[in-house]
Amino acid sequence: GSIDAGSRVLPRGANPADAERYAAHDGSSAFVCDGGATTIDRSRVNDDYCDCDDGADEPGTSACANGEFHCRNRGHRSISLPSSRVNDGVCDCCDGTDEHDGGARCPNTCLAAGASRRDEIRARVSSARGGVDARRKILEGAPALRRRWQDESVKLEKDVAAQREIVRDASVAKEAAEAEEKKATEAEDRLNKREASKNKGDDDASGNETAVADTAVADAVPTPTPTSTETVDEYPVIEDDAVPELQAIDDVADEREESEEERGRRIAQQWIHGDSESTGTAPSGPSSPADVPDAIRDRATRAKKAANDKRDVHAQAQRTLTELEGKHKDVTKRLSTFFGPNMELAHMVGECYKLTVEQYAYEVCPFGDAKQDTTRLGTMQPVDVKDPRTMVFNGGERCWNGPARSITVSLRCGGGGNKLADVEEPSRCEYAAKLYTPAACDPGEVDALERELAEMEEEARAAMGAPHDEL
Amino acid sequence: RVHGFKANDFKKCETSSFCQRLRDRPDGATREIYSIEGRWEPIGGRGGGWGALLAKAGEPRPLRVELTPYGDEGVVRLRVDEPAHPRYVVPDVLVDSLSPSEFADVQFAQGGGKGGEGARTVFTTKNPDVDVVVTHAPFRVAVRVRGHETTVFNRRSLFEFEYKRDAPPEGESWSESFNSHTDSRPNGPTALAFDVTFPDAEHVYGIPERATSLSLKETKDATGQAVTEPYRMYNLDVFEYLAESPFGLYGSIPVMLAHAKVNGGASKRVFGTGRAFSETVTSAVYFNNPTETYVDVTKSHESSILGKKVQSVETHWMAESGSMDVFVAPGPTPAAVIRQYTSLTGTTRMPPSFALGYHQCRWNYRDEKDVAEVDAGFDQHDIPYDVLWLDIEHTDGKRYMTWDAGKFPTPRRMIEDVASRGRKMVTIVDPHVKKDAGYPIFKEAEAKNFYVKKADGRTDFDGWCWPGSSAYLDVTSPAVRDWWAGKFALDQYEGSTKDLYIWNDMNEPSVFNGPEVTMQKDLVHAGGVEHREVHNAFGMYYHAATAEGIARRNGERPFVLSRAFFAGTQRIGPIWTGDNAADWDHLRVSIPMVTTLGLTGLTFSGADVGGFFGNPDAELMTRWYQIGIYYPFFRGHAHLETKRREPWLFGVDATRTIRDAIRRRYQLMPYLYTLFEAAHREGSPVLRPLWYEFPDDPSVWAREDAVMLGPAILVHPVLTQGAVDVDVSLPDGVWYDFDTGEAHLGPKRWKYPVTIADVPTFVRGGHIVPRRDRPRRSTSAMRRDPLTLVVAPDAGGDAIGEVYFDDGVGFEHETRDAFVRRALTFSRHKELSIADVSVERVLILGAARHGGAVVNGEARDVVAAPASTRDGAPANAVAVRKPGVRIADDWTIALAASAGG
Repeated sequence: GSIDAGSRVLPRGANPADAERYAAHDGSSAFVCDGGATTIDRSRVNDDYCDCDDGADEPGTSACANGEFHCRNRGHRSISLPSSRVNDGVCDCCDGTDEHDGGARCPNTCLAAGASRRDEIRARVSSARGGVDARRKILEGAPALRRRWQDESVKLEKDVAAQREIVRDASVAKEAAEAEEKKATEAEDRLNKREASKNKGDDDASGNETAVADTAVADAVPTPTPTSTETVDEYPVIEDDAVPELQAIDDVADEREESEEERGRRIAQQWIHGDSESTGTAPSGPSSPADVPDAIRDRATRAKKAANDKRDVHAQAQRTLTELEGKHKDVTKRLSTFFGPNMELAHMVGECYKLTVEQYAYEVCPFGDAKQDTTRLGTMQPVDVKDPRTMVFNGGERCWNGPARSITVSLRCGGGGNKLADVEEPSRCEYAAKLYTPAACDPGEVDALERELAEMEEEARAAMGAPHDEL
Repeated sequence: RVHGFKANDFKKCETSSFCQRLRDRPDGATREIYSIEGRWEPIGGRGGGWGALLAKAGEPRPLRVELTPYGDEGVVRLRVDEPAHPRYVVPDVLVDSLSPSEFADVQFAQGGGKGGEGARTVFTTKNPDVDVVVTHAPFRVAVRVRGHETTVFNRRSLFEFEYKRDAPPEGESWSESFNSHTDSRPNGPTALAFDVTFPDAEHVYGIPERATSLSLKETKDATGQAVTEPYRMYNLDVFEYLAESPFGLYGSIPVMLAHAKVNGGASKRVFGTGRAFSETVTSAVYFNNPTETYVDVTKSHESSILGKKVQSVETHWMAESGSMDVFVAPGPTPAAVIRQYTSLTGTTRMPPSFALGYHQCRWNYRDEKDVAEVDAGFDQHDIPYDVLWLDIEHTDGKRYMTWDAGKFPTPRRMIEDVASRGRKMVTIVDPHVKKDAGYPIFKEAEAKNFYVKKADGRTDFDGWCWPGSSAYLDVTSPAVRDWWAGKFALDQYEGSTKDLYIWNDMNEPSVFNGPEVTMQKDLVHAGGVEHREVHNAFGMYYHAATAEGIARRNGERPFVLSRAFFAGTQRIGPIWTGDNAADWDHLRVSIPMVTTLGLTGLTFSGADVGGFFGNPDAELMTRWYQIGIYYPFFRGHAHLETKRREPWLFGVDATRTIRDAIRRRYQLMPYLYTLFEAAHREGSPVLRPLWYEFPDDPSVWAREDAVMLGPAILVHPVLTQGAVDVDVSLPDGVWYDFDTGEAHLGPKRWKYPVTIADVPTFVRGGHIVPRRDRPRRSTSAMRRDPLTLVVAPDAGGDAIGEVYFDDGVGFEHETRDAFVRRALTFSRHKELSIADVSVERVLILGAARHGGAVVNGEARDVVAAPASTRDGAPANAVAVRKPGVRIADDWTIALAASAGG
């Protein structure tokens, strides 16, 4: 063929693509290089002295620092090497042509190397083909995924609005219960103080002390009625055995399936507005002065319980709201996130990939966090539009005397689903990993790989068919 | 950045009892105390040494003083010992072949004064320029060069020698505590001190290792007031050492050089240069004693009768034990001083050629895959390198000479793969041995009773180091060293191959839980020797045993890096300056550190490029490589907690600049190898301070902003951040810009503009530099490349040079004279003339016109020199194209007249 014809006149190490450059024209013995700036005699091509600044006159020797040596590598792939690899004692070309001064013996290993390289590429092509198919499905699913997120966003927006109402109602109920709780506990405090001072001083207690206690109690109650204060003064000491009675009141209340709140309100009202309102209607309410301390305590207990319940209800509602708002924020953010030019990374949202290396379990959640066991390695940064095959997780837990941990995940084409691989720590606390995923399979690259394979196979056939070809 | 150096962890003079006793004495303190008793007599049957009694007032048993000449250049040894209790003299430090020579003449002169006062004895050495005048009372010894006193002992009467005593005085104890440690000191105080005055000297150098200036600053002023701590020599593992401190580091070489004006300090002006020159003499003292030693330096100014200010440097040496054993190297040139000193302790071992390449190290390359990737990274980025290193993490639990089976399952295969591209590997092996009954080396050494003992002399000492509780091999014992060397046999060290070499770290020795991070002084070595007697040499013994083991494997040159060192380490292998930091101060101080080591015989050294601790930015990294290529030992290294920093990780621009720098190292390899051979032959340093080359130019005596690589290349490294220019100052002579060939006539001083790619570098007129200009991936890949000879004519048009080759691997250069050493000469006048390696081109600097050349009678082309490495700069040179000669043959190249101009 024409290449063979050219190679006969091609100087050692020259690239066949440059055949024209080395061909003699019109019988001239001039060789032109440096873009026309330098002309030398052809006898100086490959004479082991560098005459051209661009290195073109010495393709087959190491004389030019910037020269290139081309190995044909029949049966494998041709490559270009820096000319510094020529005759350096190391076999760089599988056909051994880079070592031609006898300093190193380099057998031709191209057929074997080519075969194993072709097997490797075949496997890669096969995997990548599967990857491209899988990627197509991923891409096909992307619009639907996006629609789903949009629907989700709309629904969540509504849910958030509805939940805000619930929180507001719960808040009103909570405040009312807390107001009652405050009053009831203050009354109870007053009672306790009064009783404490009575206990302590008994009949010896000075009037002063009692007065102080009274004042304290009075100050503590925002709207005391004179009657109630006086009445409290008269209360007898509550003995321990009075407790079962209080319990009994609760029990009775429970039996009637009165809610905690109702009971609290009811008892509070009975007590505070006892004379004027519904004293008569409370079946187990305090009806005699002797029952009053119990009633106060009963009221406080109920009020506290009611307030706690309302607080719980409110907190729960608030939590639900926060959760919904978070979800809404997430989905809104997701809708504006860059997931690769074809949204090919979107399917990884919410997924986590795991790998155990030696004693460590690594977990990488794209668009979330990465962890080594329970140690956070970092939070994923937005994907760089210019480099959509790299995921950077940073700001992880700080190393002792070192940087905050981070991990860089490189996406590689893989046909068999998403797989985390090759987790390493190239620098202290700076991790690196690969994620094999169909999403990183580029149909163009696979096509190129296939073409390369076809060429290699063609060339191998030619090389094996022509064993006496110049190697 | 806050440095971790903890001064309180280390002793000072005032917390060392012997230094405290000896330091603050006034001049003349022992003036009436020590004197020569009777006459000097030849020492029977021991060659040319002479001895005398040195009486101490009030002490019935006199000391013994001996004066012994060595060689024929005037080297003398002055030794004082206590005959009743001979002090320990460190073995295997002086070369085995050393034996005394004879004095040419010994004259006793009776003094005129009463009681023998004024009596003196003059010893003339085989070098007629050098004699020694011993004044009997008060005892004083002066070495003279051509009648000029250069080195005077006891001029200040600070000599002191503490006699050994049987027991402490009633109610007292000899023990001494520091922090939580107590030194039992069973033998009591046996310290000694002496003063050495260097008359007319302005500068003294040496006594490494410390991170400080080249010219040693004074530690006491002329009034006797302390300025800083005295310089300390006590090998220690100092964590995060400071970039400016008199504190002693990992190694000690008790050698001090002094550079003095002669003829009363008179200087002469050289016509036409405007520069004053002084006739000078360089001399040195070597204190052959490995015990803890402090040195005070004082610079005194005296007025002479002519009203001129004459300066001298006074030094005060204080050692904890041993004898006073001092050698004087009389000079008179810096080269002569180092030749004389290395005749005593040996010259640099001829390194295997790969050792001069670039070394890539990190704590730690993780596993075999990491090793393969880093190795491939150099080829991918077309950066040459020779050796890939593995730090402590490669081992199975810090059991040296084992492998972490998970990370390094197939070490032999790994090493063979790296070696298939002509490269080598290094693993670390430290002197502490993990106490683990399952570790065969531990068990065997324990069974053989090979460990350093506690103060009781019987129980094995254990200290804490990387593996935890560890025993320490007693390498002061030749039997232990022999056994240890055997452990490096290829069938003993599993996973090793002949392409694996060794790195000894922590051999000060580092003991994490010991006093000052080292061994207690009262530990006991073989023969009952206390650790204090031998401390500073311990690391060298370990280093020597390891190198011996590597040399035994297959008869090739060993390569073993050490951190600790002592006088004589140069004949074992290189050292590095330990755990520096990635900052500009540590970059700057690396230069005086490395040149100081070169002045004291240990030229094969370097600092970790990039700085061990911390993370250098691209600029610092680039600048460090640009000077690192001139360190005789050139290694990049980094701490475990730093970011990765292989040379291609700092961006495309930095990668290119660093590649260019490393390529220059390889380009200069023939010159560098020739310099190492000179170091091997006569001790001369590879990297030199300017004053070594220009001793008579006072303006360079303290300079450390520029260095000389051998005699011919001056480098002005860029040592400041963001530099846009460098204050370049060239000494007398013609200089050619390395990059452009542009000629400069020195002395000359100007601002040299620089980009990140530039380092002002000059070839000195009068020299011929052999290069190999083909960029290769390693030293082995370039071993058959042709040479480029760079001819840099001096003002008279002449140049000389030298080139040395051998196989770079074995010892046949010594056993069978299998080497080529060619003298190269070039002369512009007369016939305009100038060895299995051929010459590719002869590059003649300072010539622009093309003419023809005749080589051995055959016409050859003269062409423009290859484009300069600096864009746009003219190539001020021509090249004789393919002279077609071999470096081993005799040949001449005659240039047509037009080439010479």
